[in-house]
Amino acid sequence: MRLSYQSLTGVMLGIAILLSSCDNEFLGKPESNDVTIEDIFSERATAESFLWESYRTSMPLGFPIDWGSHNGMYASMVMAASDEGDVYDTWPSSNDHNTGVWGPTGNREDDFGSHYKGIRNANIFLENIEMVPDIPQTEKEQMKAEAMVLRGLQYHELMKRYGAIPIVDEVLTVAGELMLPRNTYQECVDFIVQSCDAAAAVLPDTYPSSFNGRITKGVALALKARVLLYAASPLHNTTTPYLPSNPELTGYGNYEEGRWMAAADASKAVLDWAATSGVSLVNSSDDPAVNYQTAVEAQGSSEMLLYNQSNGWWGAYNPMFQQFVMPRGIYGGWYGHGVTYQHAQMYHTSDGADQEWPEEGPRSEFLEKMQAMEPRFQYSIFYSGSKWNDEIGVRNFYKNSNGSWSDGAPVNGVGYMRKFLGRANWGGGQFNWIIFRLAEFYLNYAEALNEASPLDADAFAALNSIRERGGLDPVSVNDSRYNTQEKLREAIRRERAVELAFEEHRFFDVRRWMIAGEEGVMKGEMWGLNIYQLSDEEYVYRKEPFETRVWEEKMYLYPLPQGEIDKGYLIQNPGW
Amino acid sequence: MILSIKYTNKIPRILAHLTLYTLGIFCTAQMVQAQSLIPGIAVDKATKQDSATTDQITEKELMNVAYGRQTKQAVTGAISTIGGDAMAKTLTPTLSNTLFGRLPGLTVMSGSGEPGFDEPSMLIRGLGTFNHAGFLVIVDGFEASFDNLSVEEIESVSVLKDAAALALYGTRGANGVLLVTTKRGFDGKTQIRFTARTGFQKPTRLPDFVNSYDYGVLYNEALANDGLPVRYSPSDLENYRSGNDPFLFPDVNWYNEVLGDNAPISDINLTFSGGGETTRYFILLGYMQNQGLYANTDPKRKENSNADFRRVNFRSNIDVAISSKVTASLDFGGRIENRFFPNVNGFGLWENMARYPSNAFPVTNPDGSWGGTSRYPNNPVASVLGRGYTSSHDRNIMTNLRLSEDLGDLIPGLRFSQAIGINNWHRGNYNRTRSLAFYEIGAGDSGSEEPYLYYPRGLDTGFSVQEWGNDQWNRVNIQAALDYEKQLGHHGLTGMLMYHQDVLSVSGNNVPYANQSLMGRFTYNYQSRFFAELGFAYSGSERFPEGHRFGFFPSLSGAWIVSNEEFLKGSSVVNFLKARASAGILGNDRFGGSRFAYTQDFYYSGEYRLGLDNVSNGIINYGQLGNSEISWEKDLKFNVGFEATLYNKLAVVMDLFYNRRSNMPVNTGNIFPGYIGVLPPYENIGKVNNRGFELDLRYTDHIGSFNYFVGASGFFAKNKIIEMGEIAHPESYMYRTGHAIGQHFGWEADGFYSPDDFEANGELKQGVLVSSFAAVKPGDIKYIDQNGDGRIDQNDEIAIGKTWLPEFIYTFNVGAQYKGFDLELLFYGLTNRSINLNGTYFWGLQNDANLSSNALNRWTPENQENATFPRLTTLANENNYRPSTFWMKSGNLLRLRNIELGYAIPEVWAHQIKVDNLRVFVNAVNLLTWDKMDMVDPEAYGGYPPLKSLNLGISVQF
Repeated sequence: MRLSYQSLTGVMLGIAILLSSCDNEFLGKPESNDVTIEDIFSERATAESFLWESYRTSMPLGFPIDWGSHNGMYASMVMAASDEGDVYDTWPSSNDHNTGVWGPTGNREDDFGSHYKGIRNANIFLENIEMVPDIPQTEKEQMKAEAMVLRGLQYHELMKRYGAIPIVDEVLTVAGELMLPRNTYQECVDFIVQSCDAAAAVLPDTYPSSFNGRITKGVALALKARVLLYAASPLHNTTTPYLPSNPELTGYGNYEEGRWMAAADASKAVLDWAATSGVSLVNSSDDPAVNYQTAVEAQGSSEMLLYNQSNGWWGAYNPMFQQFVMPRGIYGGWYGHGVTYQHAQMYHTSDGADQEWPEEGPRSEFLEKMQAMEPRFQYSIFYSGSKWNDEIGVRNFYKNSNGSWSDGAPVNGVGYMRKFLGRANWGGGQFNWIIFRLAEFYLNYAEALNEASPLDADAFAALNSIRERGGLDPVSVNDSRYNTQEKLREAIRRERAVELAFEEHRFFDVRRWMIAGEEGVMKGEMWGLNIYQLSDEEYVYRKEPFETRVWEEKMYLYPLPQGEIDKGYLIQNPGW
Repeated sequence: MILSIKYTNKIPRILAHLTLYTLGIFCTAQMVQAQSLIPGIAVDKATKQDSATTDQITEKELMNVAYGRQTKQAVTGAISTIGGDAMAKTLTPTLSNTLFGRLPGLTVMSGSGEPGFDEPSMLIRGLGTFNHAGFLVIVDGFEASFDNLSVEEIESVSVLKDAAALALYGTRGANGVLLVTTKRGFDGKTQIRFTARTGFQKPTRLPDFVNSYDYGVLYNEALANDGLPVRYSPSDLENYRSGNDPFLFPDVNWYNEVLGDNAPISDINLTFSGGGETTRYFILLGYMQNQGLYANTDPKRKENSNADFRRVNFRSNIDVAISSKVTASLDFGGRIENRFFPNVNGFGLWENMARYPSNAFPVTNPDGSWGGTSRYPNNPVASVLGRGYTSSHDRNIMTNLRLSEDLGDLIPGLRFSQAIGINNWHRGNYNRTRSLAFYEIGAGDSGSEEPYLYYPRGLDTGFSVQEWGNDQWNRVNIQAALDYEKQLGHHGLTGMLMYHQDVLSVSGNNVPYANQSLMGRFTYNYQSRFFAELGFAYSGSERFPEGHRFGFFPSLSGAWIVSNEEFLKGSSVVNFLKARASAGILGNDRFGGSRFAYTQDFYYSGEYRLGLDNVSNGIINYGQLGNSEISWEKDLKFNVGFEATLYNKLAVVMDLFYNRRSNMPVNTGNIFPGYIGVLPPYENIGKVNNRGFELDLRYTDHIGSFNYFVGASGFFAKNKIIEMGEIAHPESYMYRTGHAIGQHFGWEADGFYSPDDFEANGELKQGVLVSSFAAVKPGDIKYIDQNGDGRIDQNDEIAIGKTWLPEFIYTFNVGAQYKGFDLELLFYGLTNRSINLNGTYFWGLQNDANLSSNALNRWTPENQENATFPRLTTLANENNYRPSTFWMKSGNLLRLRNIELGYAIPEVWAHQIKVDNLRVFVNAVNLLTWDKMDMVDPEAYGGYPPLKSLNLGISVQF
């Protein structure tokens, strides 16, 4: 008895000592998990990972790929919240904008803090890269230049939406001084321009092909050109802002024609750089539609300055791009993005005329008129009776006589957006979001030059470069349709709407031009062409409005999120 | 910090020396009652007490306290206790459900009634934190869940409420502790006890939706309100009304189709207990079975399955006196739990049953295929019957070994105890599931022979089987303690010093959860009149950085037994009177966010692609900023209490408490600007005050052989947020700070917009309040413009109503016993509570939802004054459907929680059939409820509803 008790106690204590002892770190966290900034910037491999993380968080992406509200907008593309298009279903957030139910407490087009995540990453990189021992100094300077442009990209994304914002050019900690009021609009523009100038001085023109996609000198020039174009535009370059309060946050508070000239020069610099760096408009095929498709979709096309290829291959179901964007019933699409009648009317017919649509007509007329449209239209828009590809074939979608929709529908507008999607299939695809392509800078140049130097021959030349690549005849000042500054301005804007359709330009262009409030742009009725089945054989099309949109002047700039305003650091934009 | 590391190594070594020193020294010494660890061999056997006298506790009786037992008069803390027999009045698979209204200070709120997942939510003394408010549950001295124990193995459940009672739990004690003790053997003839209970459960309430015809009419009305063309033609409506074509014009009540009348529940338990001088035992074997409400399911559970929960419990608690100085206890408690569910179940299924209109589609089409539409794709009946089942299979065994030895030869009154507890849990899953094709039905072409057309939707897949089983955890606890007891004349002293460590390893996580403490309790009493107690814990948590891991948590308490004073001795009025008070500091180490909030995580994860071939480049990512000084919540607790027995009939316990929680970790995302570009860290800035009282009265008496008791209790707790790192608001009334945690906020409704508010063209008239949420129409809800800026917007949000949690809970308890018959009723009530109605059950037609009967009295031009629902609309309406006083309902309720009628056969008869005792009983749970909610249960709605039940039982003792 004695023995058993002794040993029992002994055993138990033994276990106790075993389990509790020799462990000074009983409550400690294993060290393997701990990585510090110093570790990351101790060698090239990890320091580069941090640069790639800066890319990932700074490169804009206009495709919706998940349930966030930062890429595109929530479950939709920005095009569906402008006069370019629409999503039929009401829950994607483009509908919030169209119905005017968005504001400081809810704007699912953007996530304010996400921009600053990219900016923070760039700042961390800039502050620490010097520590890395095994990267040569010249390469460090080049990497810093990349980070500066990435940061500038995010500032531009912020400025498009909010106007002036606080410039953060250091890594903030919660212990330091955090009161950073919004800089003025001018300071923000100057900051990005200076970053681009400094970066352009050290960035290379190209990278080895395995690093294609990094920031080149051309990208630095492109960002500067676009920022200056925005800065010269009526929304900011004006003595009479859209709303009177805080003019230094919404723009310059005055008008200077020289800003247009600066914008023109900056765009010209991009074109000049491209000419000597192997970047050119895609023009290799005889078929303009093929050229346009190549320019938009092809990996490594000669026209690309910068695109976001962050995800590599996208499956049909993951990320959710195809669900959100493919037309109903094609390759996983849930609802597709409709294209409005207004946008369709921006395109010309193949022979350069405007297409006229009666209120109603037979389906044969619908197809005839659609098929008469220019090549870029045929590529960009998928209308009832057109072919998606060989696998899907021709699709017809229409309304039954009782108002219900057939398979492959409903859709609002004249049809679905097809641009970007030519390479999709059941296996997914590689979809690169265009950040800068060369075509934009011809249009930027034409637009800015026509303001600084009305009807300048170079403005026509730039415009015609784009028209001709698109398969349209060139225009000139001798044509009475283009013989005033106003007419040329309209033509450039229209060309821009067509060439850069759905690339997240129009949504912001109509704001910077201050035409968003015009009927049929961001406000009022949006139209479509609906086909109706009257009987088994008889179909007609009808021109019909599908919704009425809401616009208020204050919407020219987004409100800062109420959550940020409430923290007491920032001033709200006018009207909100 | 150095100290903490050192004692980890030193304490066991010191203990080892002590033990060695005492080996071989044997003298007879009187066995002292162990104050800790050893459960203590029950002095008198746990005889079946009459319900009428259950709570009559004598002063000398031992009570369970933290890691030990004390006499009732020596207890200086606030503790409420319930015995297992009172818990047995609720037949439920989950023991927490037996505690409604039973323990003053313990808030219990119904959750889902789904078999196997019906745990209620529980709080001790209300809410003291906006972080993790869960409390520790200790079973026989070790952290463990008690929900799936059998009620027959429970000796008692105690709730520890104040600083004195909780002192030893240190950094984990601030939210209170529930102390569960299982039954043990005794010195006496073996008792064999058999109990069987069986019953039927039904939902307490199911929502009520309109039929097809009404839905059609009202949908058309809603469309007209929206300025849209009607959807249902007069002939459609006539078809709905006549019900001639149940396929094209169905009228389906999904609840009737999916649910059966009731769900069976039963349990059987067999226990053996007894023992002798040296060995005592308690052995249990139990079986519990509870099914769900789903109808027509496969009883063999091959094709599909009802919700189904089956559990086997077993326990063997053995106490052995190894020598005159050494006692040992070895406890095995185990269970096997098997749960089956329809593949689609729970919240999603119940939401669909509520959301799908009665005219959406027929359950099955004329050709036998499942009905459905693209808008309403998940046919609820097919979800239950056609999609297979999922199942989980849990195995748990908890093993506790304790040794206790008397070191009286070394130092008289000294005892050393040690214990190890190993708790193992494993879950395996087996699912047999499939997807289903369903067909949207449409009218055939006119003139065609086929009356119906079927449009295929969804995909029929065969059954696929998924199996996995690496869900497991293992918990190892080690405790060692020294107890000392000394009586010097009038002065009584006890002391206890204890070490505790706990390691929880969870599969899939290579960093086990750990905590560690050194605790102590020292008591002094003078003539059993004055008691003083110092309790403390020096306890550490892994969640904090080195140097900040350990904290010291002391508490001081005292009691005065007034009835032991000369002037009250022998009083026939005041039989017992005790006053007590306590103050102390406890901690709470649990809060949201990263487990290691003191450090910022950088991790290599993800990729960025570059190059024409999309070459993947690894990236580095990082999380929330760390706070290197992050620490636990501190709770400063004050309590005063009185306990009295008057006229030998009336027992009174009253406690008042005031808790000040501070140092609460707060996610500072609301404080720091978004432009810092990273989630800011947690900081210890939060403060919450919580105060309240508990009052418990019980009057016991008899009239001849008619014994009866009447009990009443009330429990009040109200908290107030002092600091929570709240975002700045433009209006002072918008602050959550200063209100209770969970205070409802919303808009103050002010009737409806009337047609007179609008111009002929539909525009609002000048001077009428504009809503920024939506373009309003007549019949929309009007709100009060709190800041007077002429428009209704986010800045007009104010505190409305109370919180979801009740501030005050009260109970009435009456029981009687007469000649073998016994009867007990327990009512409990919740008051000072508000419910904000929202979602599918109440917001008709929103998100294509159904229309419930609450919308019938909607606003129409003819029914403006008395309407209780805004105008119907098929569109999203941000103005009407948001939290407001319009949707606010009182959450007060009174329930007849338990009623039990029993009959024990007379002893003479019992002996004739060779049993000691035989009792049959019938009881009901949640039989009656009085409240202000019409449609759903006021305690829980959404998903599987709470249940009521009617049960029969028998217990036999041999």
